[in-house]
Amino acid sequence: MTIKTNAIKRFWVTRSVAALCALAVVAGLNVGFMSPAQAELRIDITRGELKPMPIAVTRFPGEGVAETEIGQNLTQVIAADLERSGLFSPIDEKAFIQSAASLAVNPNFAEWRAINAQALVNGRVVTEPNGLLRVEFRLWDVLAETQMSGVAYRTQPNNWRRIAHKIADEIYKRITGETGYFDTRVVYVSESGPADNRTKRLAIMDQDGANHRFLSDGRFLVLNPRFSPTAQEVVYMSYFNDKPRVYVLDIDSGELELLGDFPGMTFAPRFAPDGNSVVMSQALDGNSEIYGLDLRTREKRQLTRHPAVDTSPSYSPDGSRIAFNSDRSGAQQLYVMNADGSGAQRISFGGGRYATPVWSPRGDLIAFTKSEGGRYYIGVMRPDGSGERLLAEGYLVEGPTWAPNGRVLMYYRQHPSRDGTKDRYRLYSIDLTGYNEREIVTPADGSDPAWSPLIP
Amino acid sequence: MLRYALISLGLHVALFLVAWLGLPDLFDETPLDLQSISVEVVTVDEFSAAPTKALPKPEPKEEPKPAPKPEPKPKPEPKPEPKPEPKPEPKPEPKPEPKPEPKPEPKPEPKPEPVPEPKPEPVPTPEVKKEPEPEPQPTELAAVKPTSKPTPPKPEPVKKPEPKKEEPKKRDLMSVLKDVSKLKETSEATSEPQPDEAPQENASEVVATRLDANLTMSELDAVKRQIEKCWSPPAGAKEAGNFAVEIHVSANPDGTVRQARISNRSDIQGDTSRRTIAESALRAVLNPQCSPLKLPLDKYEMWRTFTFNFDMREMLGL
Repeated sequence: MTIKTNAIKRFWVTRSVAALCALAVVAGLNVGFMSPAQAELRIDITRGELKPMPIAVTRFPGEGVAETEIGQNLTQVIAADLERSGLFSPIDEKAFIQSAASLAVNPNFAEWRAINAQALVNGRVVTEPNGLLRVEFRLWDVLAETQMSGVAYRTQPNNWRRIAHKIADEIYKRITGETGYFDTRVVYVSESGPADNRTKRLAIMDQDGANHRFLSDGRFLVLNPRFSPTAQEVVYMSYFNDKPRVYVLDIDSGELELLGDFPGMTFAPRFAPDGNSVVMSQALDGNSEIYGLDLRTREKRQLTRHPAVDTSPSYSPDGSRIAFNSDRSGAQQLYVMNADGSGAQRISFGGGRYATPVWSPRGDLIAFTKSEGGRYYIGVMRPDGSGERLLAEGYLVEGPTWAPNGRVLMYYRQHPSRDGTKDRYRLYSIDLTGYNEREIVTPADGSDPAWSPLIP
Repeated sequence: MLRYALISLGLHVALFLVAWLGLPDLFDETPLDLQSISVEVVTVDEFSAAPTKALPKPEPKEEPKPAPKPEPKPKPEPKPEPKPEPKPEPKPEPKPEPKPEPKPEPKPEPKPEPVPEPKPEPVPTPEVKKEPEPEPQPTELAAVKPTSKPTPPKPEPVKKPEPKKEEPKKRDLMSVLKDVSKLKETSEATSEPQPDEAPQENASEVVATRLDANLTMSELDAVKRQIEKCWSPPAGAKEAGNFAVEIHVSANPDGTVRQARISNRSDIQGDTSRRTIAESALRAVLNPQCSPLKLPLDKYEMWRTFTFNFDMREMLGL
């Protein structure tokens, strides 16, 4: 009896509750569909297209003739920097609608939109009473109609190129979110002469090939130049008096210093991230090991002890680890060990031979060269060996070096000639994406580039 | 008006009765047939996003609400199809509305504020001095104006023959990362699986059963594709994989954008990398080449205001 009443009661209650709930649900739906305040439409955009951004770099007007000329040159260098990055496409100034005079007052964004510009750069050049050059620039977001950046620089008039690079860096940084790399230099080995008697000189130039000059006279062979990450110093190997030794050169003062007179041959030097020490290889009695050398105390430390050939050390940017290559497994492969030499682990497992690991300044990747089946490749992989990707390929591609932002690589490429006597060696840069490969024009053959950090 | 009210009342009463009679006893067994209405509730955008964003939805399973299956509409099958995504809520899930954040500030005029004088630098060294960023507030990028008149997409003057960039079949970032070895091996077999394809088919089925008021999958796809073409995501930005930007759009009836602003601005908080991502998204929405938006004009009420959610994670393979 009680069971039955309970059942009936429960039946009524649950039925009613259910029906009321249904009503409530429908009421909710009604409200939803009738009022515009319903949960708002939301559209997910999960893809994009990497297209160079159309940017209008206008001439920076100046008061006098000299300033006007500098303004024009600045504009060209800025536009060229941006264009070469592959991320921007500067618009031909012939297309510009707004006049320079009116732009100086305020940008007319509609006129810039009309020529598809998404960003606009303007500025001006002034000579100050003390003779210094003052360059102001502004970067505008044409679509959002806002100023994105505005900076003024002051320098010697003959130093205008650096201002142009700094402005390009600022634009790059503001729009891509990454540090730029235009205000940098590159040292490399300039080669000339016949194959059996090459003259190899150390040379330096701006990242865009300008301001080229030689750092050595070519009497002694130079190899493997590497920039200090903290100073305008280069470490390299030279056959001074036929003895292969590692030297440190202060670029600005020209001061040259021998790094320890070790027995055997020292080679493949590279700075530690703090610039205070160098890692390099020493070959002695047919074996090659990796050593660290403190530049202040001159204390030498052996980091590897293995009968195999260990060479090409490169520090991680935090200084905690070192990548190197070794043939301890048979073929040449890449390894990573702790900075004290412990815990070496192999990270490359592909076919062919892997060499010259170079840790990215960003820390996320290690660049390397690989040879397999008679071809050479420049590739990158993560420090744990995953994500291997080959960016460039050729008869010979070698010597990868990172731009300070870890986004672009430079390397050299050998273009073989038919008879093998007139091979050409050229420097190239390539974006981390594997696209936008560009030649860096050098006066003669070039190899072994080394990218500087951003110039302070 | 009265007529509609009466009809409405009638339907409600009818519904009540039907529900009273027809609904199963909820407290006795597991309510399997809850799902009968779930298709109605899943909005298309949620649906299409579902496959890639396996974000763990808060399963609202525990208190199953009775779903009124006998809609006024003649619905063919009240099939208790136990789908994996039970959506008992009647409303398209009110996503974390970024509403309670600072109103779009009254449009800071892009005034060319004077660049402050840098300190005189007596040293005649080739040092260049950068001064402390005289730019306007970094977060002030929402100054937006109506792009009501779409400027005709003029042929761009310096259309560089971008070296090799045209890998036509590949659009997303992942494929933009080149690998010369892979190019060799699979130079042909690159018909990458379109991640959107599968859901699309399911979804169109769903759409067919939906009330007319919502945008269909193909309508949404049209505007998605349009904006994707205008978005050049800063793939290198540090926060690329961590930060999705929400752009709140107020649109005109002709599909042009009246106002667009970053609605999750509070997530940026002076992070330049995030700011860069947000700005790139804003530029995509404001790009004249993407105006007017390809939205069905007859459903203006649906998109008078809406939100674009720009998310790079899929492209980066995250």
